[in-house]
Amino acid sequence: MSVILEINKLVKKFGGLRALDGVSMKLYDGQITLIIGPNGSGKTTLINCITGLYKPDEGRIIYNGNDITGMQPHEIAKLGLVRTFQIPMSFQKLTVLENLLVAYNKNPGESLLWSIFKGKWLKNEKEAREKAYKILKLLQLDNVKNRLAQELSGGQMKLLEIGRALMSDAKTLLLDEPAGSVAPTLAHEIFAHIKRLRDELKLNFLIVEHRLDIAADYVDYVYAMSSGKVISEGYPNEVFNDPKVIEAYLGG
Amino acid sequence: MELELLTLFVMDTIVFFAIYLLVSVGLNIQMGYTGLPNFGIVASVAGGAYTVGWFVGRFAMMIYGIEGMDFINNNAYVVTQINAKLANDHLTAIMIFLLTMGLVIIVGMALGFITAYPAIRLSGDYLAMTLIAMAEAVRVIGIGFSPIAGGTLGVQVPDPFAWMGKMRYFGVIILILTISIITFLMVQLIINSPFGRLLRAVRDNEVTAESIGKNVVNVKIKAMILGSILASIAGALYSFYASATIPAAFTRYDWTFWAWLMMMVGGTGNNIGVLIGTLLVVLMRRLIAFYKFSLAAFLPFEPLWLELIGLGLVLILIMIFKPQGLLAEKPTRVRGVKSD
Repeated sequence: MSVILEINKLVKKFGGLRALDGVSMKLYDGQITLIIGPNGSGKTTLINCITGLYKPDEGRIIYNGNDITGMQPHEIAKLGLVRTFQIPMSFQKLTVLENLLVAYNKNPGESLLWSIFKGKWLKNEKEAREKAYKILKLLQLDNVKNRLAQELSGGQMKLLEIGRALMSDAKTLLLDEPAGSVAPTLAHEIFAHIKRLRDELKLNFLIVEHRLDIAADYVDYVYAMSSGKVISEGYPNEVFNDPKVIEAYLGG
Repeated sequence: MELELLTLFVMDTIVFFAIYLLVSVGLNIQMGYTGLPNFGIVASVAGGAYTVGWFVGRFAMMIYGIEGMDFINNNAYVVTQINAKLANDHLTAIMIFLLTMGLVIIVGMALGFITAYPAIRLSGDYLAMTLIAMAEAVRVIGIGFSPIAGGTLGVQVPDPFAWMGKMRYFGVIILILTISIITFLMVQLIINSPFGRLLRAVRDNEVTAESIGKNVVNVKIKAMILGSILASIAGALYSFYASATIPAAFTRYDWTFWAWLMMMVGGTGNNIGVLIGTLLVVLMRRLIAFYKFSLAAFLPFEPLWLELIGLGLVLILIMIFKPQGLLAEKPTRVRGVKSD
């Protein structure tokens, strides 16, 4: 199995606080990898560093052989590495359908110059719509496609986050608590979707999640973090029963 | 020619509607669609006007070989000479007009690019303040540095439509209206496209837009440039209409705040709405300008205050009853795709 994402001794400091203190991970192609850890362990900081929102102070991030450390977020996204947010951040005043259409990245109509000439981009726009309709159906959001994103329920917004990541031809998705504050049945559905996407579309997933009980059935490999360090890694059962992990979660 | 008051009123309304339409739509692109609060749009309007004031006269002097005179200091004499020539040479006149408008578009792009600089780095109130300051700088430079457009006194601008003779007044107004409508339609082509949708997405959530691969910095720059071009065209057309550029006339009050009112009344994020808003507000302003003294008997205050009261009252009413404006923002109607 080839390594698709490699994180080497990443350090990120905020003043005196070492939010990431030498984190190293390897993600393999075709895997669903889980990151767990108590609040404040650095999980979201890690995702922010990987996707370019933060510039790490030390360490390297290598995606598909490219060193993406310190690249701009939109450049990293164009390479196929896309993330979702813990609190869904959709385009509020755009419809659900438009939220997806914007995520399509190969539309020349989005350039100021070519926007006037319909012929230059009509084909791409239609392709984008086809793709969006498929994703809407997959995530069971097609009945709300013309509603404004701000009118959706919390669970629907979470699905829209994932849908948007899918539109952008991402090969690797970083999901920040995809099942957070969501009822268990919906949480299972979300993870089932993720597994299906991995199987059908050959996508890679790095998921940050607290709901170990739900996530355990769907993931291949787990990293546990605490206070900015990786304290344990391995198969789900190994990590969940590791005394270090239990102690970190229950305090001490 | 003698004109009835009513005809004057109608034609005045038309020309100011046409000119302000470009400013309010330009502002709508920056603020309504992209969320950049440009309280300094007067800078672009003035820029277009200054370009006309600076270029047309000097260029005509060069073409007609008028030497030994300074365009600014001997302004009236020079312009009279040029107009006499232009009245009989409509081809040169039209060429000068087109060339100037080309230059105006370039100046608009440059000003848009410069005002985009803070737009990338600041947001909200800080951005608004910075843009106000930049616009004030443009105004102060124009008033203080006479080689541009005559400083405090302003300059007369040669009339590329002098050949219209008796029909000049009507001809120029119809021409300005035509240019304005055509420009508006072109803007609609741009807005009703994936680009228009992208603007709204960047407005709604920059971070998300970045995370899906959009270059947000570039998008903001494009929005500022496009809006600035429109405003500069408006300023230039105004100068041609008045045959003069007077830097002191380009005040925040006239060209930023009234434009904002037109956009807010019509509907931020909806160009058709902004067109209606502009028409209504220009109409109100013209009505007040023409008929305020007739109303003096009914007013408990000086009729001169009517315009200011009008601005404040309409603003308050809109904010209370229709903060989104008369026409709400709609999803981008991308051309060529049927929406279901």
